[in-house]
Amino acid sequence: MSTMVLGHVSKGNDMKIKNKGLMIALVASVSLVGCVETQVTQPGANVAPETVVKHENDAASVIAKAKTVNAEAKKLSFEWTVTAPAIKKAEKALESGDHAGAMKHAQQALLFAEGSVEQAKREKAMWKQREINMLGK
Amino acid sequence: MKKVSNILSMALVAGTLASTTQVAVASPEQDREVFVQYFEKRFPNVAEGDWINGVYSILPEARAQWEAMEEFPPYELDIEEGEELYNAPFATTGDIREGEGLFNKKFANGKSFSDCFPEPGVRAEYPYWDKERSEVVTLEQAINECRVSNGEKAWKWNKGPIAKVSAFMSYESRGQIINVEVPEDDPKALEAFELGKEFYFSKRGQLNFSCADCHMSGSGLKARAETLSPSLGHTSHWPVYRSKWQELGTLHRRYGGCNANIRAAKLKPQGEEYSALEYYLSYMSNGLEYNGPGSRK
Amino acid sequence: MIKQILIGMSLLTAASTAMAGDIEEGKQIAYDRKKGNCLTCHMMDDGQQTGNFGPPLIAMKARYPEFEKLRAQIFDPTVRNPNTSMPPFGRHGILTEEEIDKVTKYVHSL
Repeated sequence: MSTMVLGHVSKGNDMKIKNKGLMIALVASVSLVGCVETQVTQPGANVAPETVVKHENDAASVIAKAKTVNAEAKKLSFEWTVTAPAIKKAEKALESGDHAGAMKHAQQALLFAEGSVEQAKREKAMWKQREINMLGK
Repeated sequence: MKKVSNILSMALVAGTLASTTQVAVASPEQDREVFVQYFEKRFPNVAEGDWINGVYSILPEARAQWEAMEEFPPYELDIEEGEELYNAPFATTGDIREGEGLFNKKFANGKSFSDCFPEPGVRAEYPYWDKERSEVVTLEQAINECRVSNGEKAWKWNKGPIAKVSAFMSYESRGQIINVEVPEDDPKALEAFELGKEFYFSKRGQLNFSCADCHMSGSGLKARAETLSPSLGHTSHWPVYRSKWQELGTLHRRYGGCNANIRAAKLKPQGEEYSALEYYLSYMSNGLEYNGPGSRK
Repeated sequence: MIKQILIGMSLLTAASTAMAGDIEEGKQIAYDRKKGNCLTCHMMDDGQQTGNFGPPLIAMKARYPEFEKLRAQIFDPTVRNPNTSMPPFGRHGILTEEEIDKVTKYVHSL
């Protein structure tokens, strides 16, 4: 992101900047801030009880969904090795009350599970064409 | 991100459907000819029949070192042990339950593999399509079926005694010509062949590789310092003593390992997919000699 | 005016230091077998025992003038070529978005 902004500055010959020094300073300060971590609400930190409960359910429901989708991937013989460990990590985090960690791992697990099912469906449709492309049939 | 990939998948499927409607299904023999031509064109210096030496057929420098290893092969002891296991009679006590049918009792006590196989040198009869059972039968499967049908517990599929007996039988079969058949009078045989082919060309795992990506279009290229071997001749030299394993392992063990390398969950050894894959790739190597067991890094 | 330029210059230096940091981290991710593992297929930089599955990574700004196009290629190379052997590092979650940012910065610098 910061590179893109810097890129704009270097291309900016057509930009009519009154005070180029200030512009550079502003740009640089934005780059310094750089990658801002997305704010995650930690339970117990001045957060209403309903939000906390919602958080728990979110992670748990994402884990449940990841498990269901992964079961489908397994049935299609396209399960990835990384999915089950991600689910385990999410469950462990949930058990120990680390809701942020649980959500992070759960979402990763869901991405893996969905990616593997998509792959199964795509390859079912594409493998013939891959054979033709490769062998020049 | 999910929306984009869904649209992409739909576009890919649409594009594929549009372009594959005119393609007729080739016969296994036509498939084999195209397969062989691909590798002969890619590696024109490989002598006819030399594909059975795997990566060493395309890497003359490494070959000398490998041939030295084969002088005193690491699987020698395994062959001897395999021979012993092959000739050993089945257990006469404990495994046989009383009250079972006359049929079971018939195969108990003192019967050995010799009663299932006419001789150990029958490597070239596998894999084959069993019409009655509608399945591909591999050598390892036949070995365990002999055990089980004689009241013994099946051995584990990937290593240990099954690999040793397979090694012994493969050794006794050296020089036999690979001659897998896809019987024309059973469409299910062709289905199994096509399933193996589909597996070969399908990308899998988080890393999104197909067997073909590495062993066809990637053959001869290097992943890190390792040269990727061509699929032609792949099934000739199994089971294999791999230095990485420090022991013998079966072909399906290697399939599982390869899948795990690309972060695809291993499938069942001797399950439908791996047996179909072995069936397809063995057919592709028809005409070459069996030279197992082998040794690799 | 001078004061502003001086502030600007020091902040710019800090920014390029941050960039240098990202590039170094990007190299670590690229070389890490468990992450980018780029050396398995690509000859690049000072990598040892590199594979030749893919093209050598050199003159990258000439090959990919636009940073975003390089990033997209690393994120999902199957968009440009559905039959590529290169893993979709972003789409399949092999690397995080942040890791891909850093790897792209590193590779773009080669």
